[in-house]
Amino acid sequence: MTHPESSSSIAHESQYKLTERQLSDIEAEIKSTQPLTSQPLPIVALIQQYVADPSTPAQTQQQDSQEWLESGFLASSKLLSKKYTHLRRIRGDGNCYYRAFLYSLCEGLLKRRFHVPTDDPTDDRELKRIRTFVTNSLSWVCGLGYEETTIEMFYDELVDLLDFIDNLPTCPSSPATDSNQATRPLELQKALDALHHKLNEENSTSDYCTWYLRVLTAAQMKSDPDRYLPFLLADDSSSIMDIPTFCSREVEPMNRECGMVQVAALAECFGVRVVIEYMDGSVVREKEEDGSFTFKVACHEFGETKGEDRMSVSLLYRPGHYDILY
Amino acid sequence: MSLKRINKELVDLGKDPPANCSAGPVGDDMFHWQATIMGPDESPYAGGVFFLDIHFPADYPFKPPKVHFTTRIYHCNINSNGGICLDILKDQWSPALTISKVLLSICSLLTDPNPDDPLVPDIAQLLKTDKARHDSTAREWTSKYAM
Repeated sequence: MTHPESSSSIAHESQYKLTERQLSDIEAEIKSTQPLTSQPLPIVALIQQYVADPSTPAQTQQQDSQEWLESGFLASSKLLSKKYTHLRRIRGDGNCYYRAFLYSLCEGLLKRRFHVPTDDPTDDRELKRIRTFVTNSLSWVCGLGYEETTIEMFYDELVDLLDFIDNLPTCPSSPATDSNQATRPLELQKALDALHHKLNEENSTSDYCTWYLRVLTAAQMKSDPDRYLPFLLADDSSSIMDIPTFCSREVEPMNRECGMVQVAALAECFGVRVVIEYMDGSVVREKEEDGSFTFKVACHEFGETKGEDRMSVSLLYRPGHYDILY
Repeated sequence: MSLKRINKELVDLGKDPPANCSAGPVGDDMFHWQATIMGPDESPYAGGVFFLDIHFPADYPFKPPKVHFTTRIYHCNINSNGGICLDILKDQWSPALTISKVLLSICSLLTDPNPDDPLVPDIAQLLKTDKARHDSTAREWTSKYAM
């Protein structure tokens, strides 16, 4: 055997390199065209996306009760426009659920510091609760088998981010305008802009925190296998993946899309409510008590669905992707 | 931030070096390292010293390091360009992994080749059909290229 390397091996490698290059081209394209998180867009942008599609005829003059006849996506977008006002797009890189969760949670915590939407003086309770949870999480995840030396940097980044939110000024720095209520929206906007800027830096806070959320998701699953293992059963119950294998294949690698079990685990470990509107091309027709029909987009809640004071994150799901709803 | 992580790995490697491996930057460029692996005793690569080249991508640790052998080696998962067929260097990479863990995985690959997912099918075939001849060729290559 003087030439152990057959031509098929070379073909195998060049095929791999070709695939790799193609993937990195797609990735570069996504990176250059989509910010990590967009500015909020009026919800009408969602409807326009489907009206503009020539394969989905716009039938705006039709009555609501006939909307189900239209394209399911167009109908769903119209239904959602009655419930929400804005949409924030998240980069489609496979991390969208975790990134959307991170952004929406941070933004919500920051707004509560400004007493938006409520005016409850205990509005920072959730920030305190979540800070305590995150601060204590390093020993928790290390106890579940993660190495402190590799996890620490990601953990530090999330702790710093929560500190950043806690330290953003809620009052104008000039004492003369201190009591001026009218300046509050301006200060809030400044704080939101600062957060948006921080969470849009490439290869920085957003990615580091997003990956730490993956670790917390995996840790949550590992800490309560009875709760999460049933989600991993294959439809025919033939192949059962154990939780550590599932986590190393589907949760821990960056850019891996997430399914229902990761959605539930992350929401449950933070103890927050995650509301997801499922826009998959179909609308749900519900019969009212008076016999009439109403149409809805399928909506599911995860995590803490009871406590009213808990943070709530609203997301839009379209096959393979999550965005934030307001 | 990538640089911070790479520096941290270098410090950790100094404090707790993995068995039979070493690694460090080639020059001033922290994103380009060289590593060595001593052929494991229980393998036909025993006694050899194998050099590897490591390049960290700009978005490390979210993307895997690019690692390849610069010393020739007769192994069904390593080709003549030094390319390594190892899942954690491709789609199973996770930021929880480090260069230290990658080198240990490569050591395990030297002890336990994976002929069912070969990069060089001919070597895999020989390993499956005539292990003695496979091992003797591997030993030959080791003394020729790695000693």
